[in-house]
Amino acid sequence: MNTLIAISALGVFCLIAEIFNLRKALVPVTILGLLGILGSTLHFYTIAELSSDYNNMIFADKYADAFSSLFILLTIFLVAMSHDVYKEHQTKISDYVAIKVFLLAGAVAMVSFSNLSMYFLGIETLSIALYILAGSSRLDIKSNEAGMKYFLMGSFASGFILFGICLIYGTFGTFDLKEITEFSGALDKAIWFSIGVSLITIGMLFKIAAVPFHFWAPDVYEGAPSLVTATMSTLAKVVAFASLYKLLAAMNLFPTVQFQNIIVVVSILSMTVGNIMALRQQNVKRMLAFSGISHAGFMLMTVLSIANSANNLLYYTFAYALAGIAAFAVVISVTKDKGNEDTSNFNGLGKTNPLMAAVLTMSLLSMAGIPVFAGFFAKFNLFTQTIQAGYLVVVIAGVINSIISVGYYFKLILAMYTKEPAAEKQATPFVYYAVGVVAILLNVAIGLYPTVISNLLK
Amino acid sequence: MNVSLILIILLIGAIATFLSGDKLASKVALLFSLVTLGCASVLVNHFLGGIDISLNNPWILQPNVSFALKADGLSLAMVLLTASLTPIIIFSGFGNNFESRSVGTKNFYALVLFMAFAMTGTFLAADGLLYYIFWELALIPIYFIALVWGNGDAEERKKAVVKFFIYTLGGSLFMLVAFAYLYTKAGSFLLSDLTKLNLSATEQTWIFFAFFLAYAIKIPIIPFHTWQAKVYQKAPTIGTMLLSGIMLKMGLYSVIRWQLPIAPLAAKMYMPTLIGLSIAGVIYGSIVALRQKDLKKLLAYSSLAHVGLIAAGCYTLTEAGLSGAVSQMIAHGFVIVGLFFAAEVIFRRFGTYKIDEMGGVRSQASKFTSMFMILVLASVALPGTFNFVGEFTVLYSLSQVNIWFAVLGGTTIILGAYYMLKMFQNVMLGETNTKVFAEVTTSEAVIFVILIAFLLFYGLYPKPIVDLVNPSIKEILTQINRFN
Amino acid sequence: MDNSLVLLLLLTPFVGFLFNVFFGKKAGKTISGAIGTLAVAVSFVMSVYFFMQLNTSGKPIAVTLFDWIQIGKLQINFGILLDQLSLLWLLFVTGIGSLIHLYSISYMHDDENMHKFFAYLNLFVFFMITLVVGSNLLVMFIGWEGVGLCSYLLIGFWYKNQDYNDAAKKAFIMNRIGDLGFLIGIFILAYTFNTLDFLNLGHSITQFHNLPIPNGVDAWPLLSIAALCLFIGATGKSAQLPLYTWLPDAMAGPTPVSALIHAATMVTAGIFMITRMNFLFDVTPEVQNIIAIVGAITALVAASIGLLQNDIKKVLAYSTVSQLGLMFLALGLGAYNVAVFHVITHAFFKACLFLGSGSVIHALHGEQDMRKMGGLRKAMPITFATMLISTLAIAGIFPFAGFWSKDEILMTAFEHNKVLWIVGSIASIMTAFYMFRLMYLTFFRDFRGTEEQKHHLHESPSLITLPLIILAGLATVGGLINLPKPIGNGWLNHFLEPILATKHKEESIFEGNALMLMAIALTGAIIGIIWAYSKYIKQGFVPKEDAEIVGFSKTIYNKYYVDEVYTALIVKPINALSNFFRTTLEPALGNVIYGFGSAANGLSNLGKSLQTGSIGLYLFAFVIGVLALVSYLFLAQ
Repeated sequence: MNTLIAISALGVFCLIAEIFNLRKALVPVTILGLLGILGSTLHFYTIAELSSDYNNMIFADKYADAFSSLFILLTIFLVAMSHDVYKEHQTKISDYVAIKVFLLAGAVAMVSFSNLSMYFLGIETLSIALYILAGSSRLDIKSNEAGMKYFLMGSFASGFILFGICLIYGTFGTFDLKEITEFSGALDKAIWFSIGVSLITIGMLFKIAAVPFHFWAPDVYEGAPSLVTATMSTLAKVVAFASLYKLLAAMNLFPTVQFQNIIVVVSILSMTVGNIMALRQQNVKRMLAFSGISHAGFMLMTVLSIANSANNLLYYTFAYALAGIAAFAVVISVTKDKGNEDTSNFNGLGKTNPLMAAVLTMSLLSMAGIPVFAGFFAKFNLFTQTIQAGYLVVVIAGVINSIISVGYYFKLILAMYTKEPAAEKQATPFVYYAVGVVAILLNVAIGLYPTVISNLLK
Repeated sequence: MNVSLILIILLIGAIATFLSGDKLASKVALLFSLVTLGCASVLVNHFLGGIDISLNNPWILQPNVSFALKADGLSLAMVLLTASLTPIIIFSGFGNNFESRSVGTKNFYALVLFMAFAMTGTFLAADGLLYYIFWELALIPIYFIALVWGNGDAEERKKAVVKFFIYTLGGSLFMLVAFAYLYTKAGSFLLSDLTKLNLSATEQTWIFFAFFLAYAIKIPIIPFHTWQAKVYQKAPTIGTMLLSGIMLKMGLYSVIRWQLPIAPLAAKMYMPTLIGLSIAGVIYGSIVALRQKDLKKLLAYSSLAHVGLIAAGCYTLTEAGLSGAVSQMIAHGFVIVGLFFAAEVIFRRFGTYKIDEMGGVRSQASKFTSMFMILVLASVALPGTFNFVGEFTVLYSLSQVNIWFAVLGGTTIILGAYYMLKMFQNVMLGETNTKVFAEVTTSEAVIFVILIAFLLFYGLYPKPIVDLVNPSIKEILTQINRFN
Repeated sequence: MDNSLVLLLLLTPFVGFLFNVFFGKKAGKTISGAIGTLAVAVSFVMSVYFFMQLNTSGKPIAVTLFDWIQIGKLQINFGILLDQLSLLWLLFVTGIGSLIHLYSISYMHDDENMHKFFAYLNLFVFFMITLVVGSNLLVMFIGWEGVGLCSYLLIGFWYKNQDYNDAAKKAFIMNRIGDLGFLIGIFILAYTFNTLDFLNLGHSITQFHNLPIPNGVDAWPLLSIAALCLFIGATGKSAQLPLYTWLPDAMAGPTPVSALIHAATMVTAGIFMITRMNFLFDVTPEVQNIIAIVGAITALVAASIGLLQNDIKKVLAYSTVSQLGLMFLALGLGAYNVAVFHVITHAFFKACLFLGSGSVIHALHGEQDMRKMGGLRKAMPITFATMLISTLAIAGIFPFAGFWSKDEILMTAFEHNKVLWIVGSIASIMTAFYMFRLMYLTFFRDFRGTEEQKHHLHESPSLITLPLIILAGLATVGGLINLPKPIGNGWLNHFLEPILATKHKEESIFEGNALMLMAIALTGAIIGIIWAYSKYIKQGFVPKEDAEIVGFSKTIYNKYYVDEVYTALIVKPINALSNFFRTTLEPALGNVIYGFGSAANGLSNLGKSLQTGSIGLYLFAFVIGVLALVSYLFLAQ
């Protein structure tokens, strides 16, 4: 669990680095640090030490460690890219990196909490960091708008979560997750408890941008700087989902039919609305925002068989996030000097920059769930699991949505391979190649050997 | 030594072709395809020698998927079809230049080999999920081949190809759901386990039609054929050959290998409907072909008619039907590749696929005329060609089910003759065309001769193929009849 | 020994074909012609050899070359059966074949593609032999379709003329319609008896009554259906109603082709097949009746059309159809030997007539309209003489070959059914009429062609006249092979006995009743001749121009508009349907799929309008969601 401390320390280091003017070394060092932390986390995972610290504030189990590792991995990619992204405003870079690292700290807290207060702390750390990042390009009005919107609505959601926590406390007189789990196991529960859980769920549904709490996502994604969008659509989304899953698993709410129905409806709605809306988007970031909504819908399937779908969730988040990182690496590199993110920017990329085109193509194929890419197994495992749980309807909806999704994923591919390039080929910094290729290779690797991931939570 | 070798060679071949650069690509690809063919024939000899060349390794534990390749007569026959058509198809591209597109020649030939790889995998896979993966993989290369190197108006082509991809993918996804369901029952994807399942009739019906959607679109059976003609027309001829010669056989093969043994009750229940639909396809395809103005589209519809008959044969669930279907698959594979190549040869000289802009070829190129004529005759199943063996067997099996099926399906020998001869007359005969038509080059002639030789030889002596296939057909029939 | 000789018999024409395809052009016209002719001649010699052998031993020769198709229990070999029937056919196919090849060397000499012509002819002979010697229905079917192919190639030999190509296509497709019937028949027999071998089939069917009823179904109706289907096949190949219309058009091909394929050999394949399967037809009398009736009607209709045709080859074509009709009449009455007898005699004189007409056309540089002929008697005496003999033969004048065979047919008809006899007789009267009309218009009175043609009028070279003479000779004495008692001993009937399932009650005797019938037939023929004489010699009547033909004769002249009817009823609708499918249904079906896509896009556009960007709306939606959720969870119950 030293993970959390280590990360925070790393964050502090970034700030100090600013003072000692070590900007050059900042990004490499941070990456090295993160790698170190990743190593230690994996180490803890392997020795499977179930440490419970700070009088049960934090409880680092396999679940926590596995997800934390994923978060750290993603952060590494994001930080790696920030070096080039922020090269215009050097003075800010350390702040931005530091914020990302703190964001990671929040993220880790959100999956390894064993006390609701800790959980809320995590949420807020993460969210506030995101609010700032969303508005981080100060002179861009759209960015400011995005930050503002996200902040307003986010705090609204946080309110619900907090209220939910209070209600639960009111029911059982404790924040401790273990005790709550015990009490909630009892048959006769005060209704407050259920209401509380529902409110928390609603709040989290907002965070993962599930319909009908999704409206903020497209605007914020579009307005925010691309790198931040990447952070939100990959890291933030999977974090929110991981903690939601952990909560619901702990709350013993199941099986109440109504709750399952809610999940079914929300899941189907999110998939469908997300995909349908994505069809007609010209702006890539907006399109990916909607695709993110639909993926949230897919991930919600895991909640339907909550008892034993943790590893499916883990696998899905891995597949989705890696593909997302790879895609964004390309998107950022292509659109960074363009001022907009229209699909037209990708015309003829297959000619001007075959490698990047290939990376984007593969990541899109993975999101669409085409075999050998991790996205395929992710979806397939979900389907199998959900069928086993007896929700054929959801699966059918999922299938139909996968078909629709191909429609807009392929718009980009078409643009890259059939349209004539508008601009001349411009040099792409190495880091994007690195991030894109590594991410997509990891994606393919776990696609070829899904066992690597899906066994983590055995 | 086992069948995975073929896959490895093809995969390496694809990579090598990609690395070899635009100059060498075509030759490297040809080389590897020939090596594959050699390797395939060696393996078949091993198989006939009684050596077990199948393969079954665990691959994924959760869900339980294994890397299982089954080499029996049926799959080997299809593998041989693929392995022998691929070099021909690649060689047929030597006359063309794939440079002038946004992506270089090397990618083109690499994709062709990769597609061969995926299709071979589909024919060999004995594990449901592995099979599905290969099945989907085969879609990617042909998508790019048709999209990037196709001909005709770009926008229209894009529309057609994307439709094709989404449509077929959509169908396949339902098959995936079916597999997921089967997995929940059997706890494994192995064909051997799935064919042991005792599913209720309702379950089988659902599964059967989930599969059917995938196959009916791929084969295609009407009314799921609407993607076909346009894609055949727009794709580069090599792509069309791959599609019509091999890829649609994937669907037919899968019907025999997966659909029927897994859900035989449903197959029996809906037999008349299925056969009826397939035969409707035969007649419909032939009639539409009658008035086609575009040579490639006409051939596309003729192909629609022929595969309709094959599908009908498959759904008779009789030994005659299945073995006839397999023979006809192989025969059709060869003849349709030949016909499309003939179309390509004409296109190289006249620069058009419009039939009414052709004519008067015979007086200028008698060799080409004769070869084209023989292919036309083969496609109308003249006795002595392999197509006759297949068509006769299939029609015979239909007559066993119901004489009227045979009569209706038999109309193909009338209508087929009608549209093919009409086409031949308008394309080849008549007054000498003002446009010059050079006689076939040697390399072009080689391709024709190989195809024709194959068709004629096995037309008179089909025994080797039939003997290769029939044991596995019998095995499949026992699986099909396990419920009674 | 035998095997290799059988192969020799079968394959020499094929070798000739290969030679002419690959080396014909280099070898030059004479060589390629010679090779082609030689190839067929060799087969002829072999046929004679086997014929002798059979005559002495009396045992048919059966050879199995290799296994061909194996479907479950159904095993089909590539087998050859040389028995009385097949050898008889071989003799005149290869014999007449050789003559016509010989004839073609001179006739086609000016054609640039002469080597192709001989290639096709050889290929045809090869397939015809296959058809005849096949030991089971499927091998026969190879030949059956093969000859159809060759006829297609040869009709469309002058491929630059699209009308000829249409004729060729028509022939092939018409035949294919019949072939479908043939195939269906094969299927039924195949799964009823699990064999297609003639000997086994005959064995099974003749003792069918004590067979276990195969796979549940009562096979008797099946057998009738099978027989009917086979007959449909025959109507295609042998140009009977309703599938006869291709034969007249087939005259587009070079004249030797018309002589060989569309008169002497291929068109008799149907009769051959039915005779082969006589054991089947004997047990299905209802089908036999159909055959007899169809045959009779065909004979009458074709003859009546022949009355008014002006194209010399068309006249011969319709007379062929009508003669074939007579043969089928005989078949339908179960008198297979009689039919075969007429097949042979007809082969002689019809081949001769066609070659003769060819010689005429040759002399007139391609003129085929009899209205532009006349008075050729002096210019080309040999052609005239030979054609006259053959005409007398076909008209059934004593003692020429046609007299005997046709007379036997009419006699059989008389015994079974008076109506059929009358129809047949009328048909043969008409035959006599239009054949002599042909002779008169072509050879008598004055030449009606151009001056320029008149100058070049000449007797054809010996390569052309020699076959004419031989065939004319055969047309004269051909009757000898089956003279009725007591004059002759009905050799043919005895010869064919082994292959006929049901023995024929009594030999046709040359006395009483029969004599009377002969007299009637003869007078009928003579009436026809006189009728023609009075009209075309005495009154010197010359047929009117097409435009001036009116009334019923116009209908006849236009073949009762059968072709037009077929076009209107079948061809046009199919093409219309095709257009409809292509232009309307196909796009419609396609758009169904696109429909889903555009629907989704529509929704997407709709949704866009929701995404206004105003936080108020978003929060509103949020709250609505919360309320819906909470109320469903907690207030609903």
